[in-house]
Amino acid sequence: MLQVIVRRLVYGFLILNIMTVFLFLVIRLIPGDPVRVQLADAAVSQERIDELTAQLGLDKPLWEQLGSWYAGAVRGDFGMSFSTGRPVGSVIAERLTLTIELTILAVVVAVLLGIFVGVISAVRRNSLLDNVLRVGAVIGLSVPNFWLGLLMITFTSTVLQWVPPLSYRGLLEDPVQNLTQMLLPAVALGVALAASVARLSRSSMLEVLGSDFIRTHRAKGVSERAVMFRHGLRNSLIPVLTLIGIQIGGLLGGTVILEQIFALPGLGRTVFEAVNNRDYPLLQVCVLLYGAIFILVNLAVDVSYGWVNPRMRKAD
Amino acid sequence: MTPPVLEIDGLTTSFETRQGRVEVVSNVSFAIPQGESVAVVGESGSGKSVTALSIMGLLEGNGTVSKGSIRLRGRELVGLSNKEYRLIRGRNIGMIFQDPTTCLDPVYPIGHQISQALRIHKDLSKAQARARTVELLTMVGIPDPVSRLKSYQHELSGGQRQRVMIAIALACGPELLIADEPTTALDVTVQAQILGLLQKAQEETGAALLLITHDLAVVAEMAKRVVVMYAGQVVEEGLVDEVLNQPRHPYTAALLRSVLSPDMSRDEPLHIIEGTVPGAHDMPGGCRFNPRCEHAFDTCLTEAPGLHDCGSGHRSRCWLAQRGERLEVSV
Repeated sequence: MLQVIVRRLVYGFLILNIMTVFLFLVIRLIPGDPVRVQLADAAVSQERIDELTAQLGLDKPLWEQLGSWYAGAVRGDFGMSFSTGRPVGSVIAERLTLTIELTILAVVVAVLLGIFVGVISAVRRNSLLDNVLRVGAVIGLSVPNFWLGLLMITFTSTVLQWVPPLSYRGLLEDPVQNLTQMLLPAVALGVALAASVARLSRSSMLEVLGSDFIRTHRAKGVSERAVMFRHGLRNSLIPVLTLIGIQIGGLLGGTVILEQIFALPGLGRTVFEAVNNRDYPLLQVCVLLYGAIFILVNLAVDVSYGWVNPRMRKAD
Repeated sequence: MTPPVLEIDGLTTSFETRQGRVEVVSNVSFAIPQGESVAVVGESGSGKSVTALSIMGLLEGNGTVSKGSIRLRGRELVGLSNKEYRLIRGRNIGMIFQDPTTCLDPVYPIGHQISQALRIHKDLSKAQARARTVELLTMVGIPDPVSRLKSYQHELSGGQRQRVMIAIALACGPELLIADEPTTALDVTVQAQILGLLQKAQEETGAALLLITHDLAVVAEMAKRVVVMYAGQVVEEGLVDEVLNQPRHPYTAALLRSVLSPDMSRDEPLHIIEGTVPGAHDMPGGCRFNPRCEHAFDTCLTEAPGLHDCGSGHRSRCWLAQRGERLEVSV
């Protein structure tokens, strides 16, 4: 197992390097000049522009810029953010936790809600409740998360006359306020995943409950409850876990817009701002971080396969 | 006199389908005395597995026992609540299924799956259940049982899996062991071992055995009495020696003739029974076997024969048997 983890980490590292070069070039292809965006003044002299370009290091050839980025990166120095003038590392450090928390909350919401709904649907299959839940799942799957987020804000503010606190507090700083702020975006982000988890766990559970080994358990005298949960559910989680692993990438992407909508100062919102400001160094590291999170999450999912599915333990 | 371990009387099992209610097992009766083994033979679709599942109370979907009675040591099983049935399954009746590759739970170690049965029905501590599980694994011939406790089904061979299934079925010392085609999915070399194991287990525990199979060689080897089923009915029943040597029903005779033997020559035509078992919703009128029967005559097409006693408990559902006619087995 350890060997598998190490190998996957090495692959992950290679992927991140490919991403680095690719991002470096793509970012610079975005129309617009960071220097002009920064100066934001048409009447600036050419000398001032040249001076700032040199200061930001944008006058050097691309390969040299990339080289100096790497030279800094290995020392943990990711350069200065163009727009804030602060080191990229410290800007991101305070925003990364929010996005990670948001993603984890969304996954928790999706898994709890999705599996709960899926299991109820499977146990009460073809009942009225099952049909209602299945229609609900299709709706949940079809609604875009940003629209759902907007609906939630509109609903709570106009009907419930309640808005979440505007200034962001960290989880450790003020857990209650933090969770009130995070709950709505986490739900908006997690609903689509919850819906697909519900659909998959329903069909997977039904398939497992029809299998021969479930009959063996019944023939042993295992109670119906244990048949459902200890054996049916555990076996049907295997494909659900795969689904979650695949979908988490999409979930991360959703944070970019949802953080903007809910005014949360996270990594997603930073990406959004960095694109607007043509803040090359900040954007570079933000997007790389998304890649790193994605790689780590997938590794975690693969490792947890072995826990759920013994057939995977000795594979590879 | 103690009642037989299993007594089935007029068992009729039906399923609700879109075409309406169909009887899959019709009016089946037989009994298994203490320590004895009875084989039920028939083609696929003859209702033998449904009979077994009816006894276990494990009919799938919308199947129900609509008539008749199933008594285990005199206790009526038909109509028991799910809870009451649960206490009988695994404790009084153990069951072994056809395909051991799909019958064991892939995510739990086999030791757990065996001791689970013990801990449901017996008041055992974890350590006691473990010790008993090791005993059971030893008994069914799994080498190095202690280290095998933690094995998963995918780490075992087909034969070993079936041994584990037997250990599960025997765990609580059942009075009745049902084996539904226990060797069909196994290699020929392993089949004999598993049958030997079943025989040994039956001798040691004194359990009655209900063996379901389509293999007449297995019947000859394992059982004292045989029940031949066709299209949901018992068509012939009697002592194995009598039925196999002197069948009184054309279906049994045809089954015997279709058995392959190594000393058949290559040019000799295979004896096959033309056609298939009729589906439950398009049963032929008269005798259910008449479309495939080489002896069928006009009465067979219109009137359904009853089970006729040909003497010494050998019964046949055939008009020929009622006339006292003998059937030719060898060709």
